[in-house]
Amino acid sequence: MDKMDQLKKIADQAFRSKEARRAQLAKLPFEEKVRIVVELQKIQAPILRARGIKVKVWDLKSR
Amino acid sequence: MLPDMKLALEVVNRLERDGIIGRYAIGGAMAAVFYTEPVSTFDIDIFIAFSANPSGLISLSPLYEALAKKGFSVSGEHVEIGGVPVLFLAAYNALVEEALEKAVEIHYEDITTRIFSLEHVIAIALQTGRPKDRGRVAMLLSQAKPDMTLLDDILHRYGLKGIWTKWTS
Repeated sequence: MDKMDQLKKIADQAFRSKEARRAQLAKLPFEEKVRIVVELQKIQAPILRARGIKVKVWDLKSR
Repeated sequence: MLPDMKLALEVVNRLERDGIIGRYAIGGAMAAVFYTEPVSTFDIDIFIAFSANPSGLISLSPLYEALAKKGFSVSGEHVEIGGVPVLFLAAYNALVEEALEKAVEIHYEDITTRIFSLEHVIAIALQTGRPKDRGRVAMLLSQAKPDMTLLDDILHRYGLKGIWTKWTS
């Protein structure tokens, strides 16, 4: 097996692992998905704000 | 776990029970998240059946007034309920009206709510047609299992077979 074949094999495996991870995430309970959405908001908000887009990260301690 | 989302859904349920709004369902990105891996979104789209007033116009004023009485104010196009920006949208065409009618009951913690069916989320994304909708359709098809007979029927009735072929071939 030459180096390109080895590389392709590693890349295929990496893509399959990513797909499997995403499929696992899709099966999470809705409540858990919402919690992850808020974590994603925290990551994305500073980037959007730097571009002048007003966004609000959901406040977990609002009640 | 997340009292704010729960509060938002409780408030919307109360509005429906009190007759301020008609039947409602969650659509948009949050509906897609129900079926796929979590993706970033900053609001909850609530689609509502509204009856037009005698002039034929749909007015959101009674809704906003009811929310204001509960202490929730309008901020831009959203109403912030418990820290969550909620976007109220009237069902704006026949496909969205059908999605609202066929929306499925789900539970969020101990709250019962409604969400667009997987097939209708896909059809609405196709109809909306933005680049992000194309990504949403790809994600929904790879991570969820739509009823293809039902989806095909919806696509046929709403003239979406062309864009379906274009996006999925």
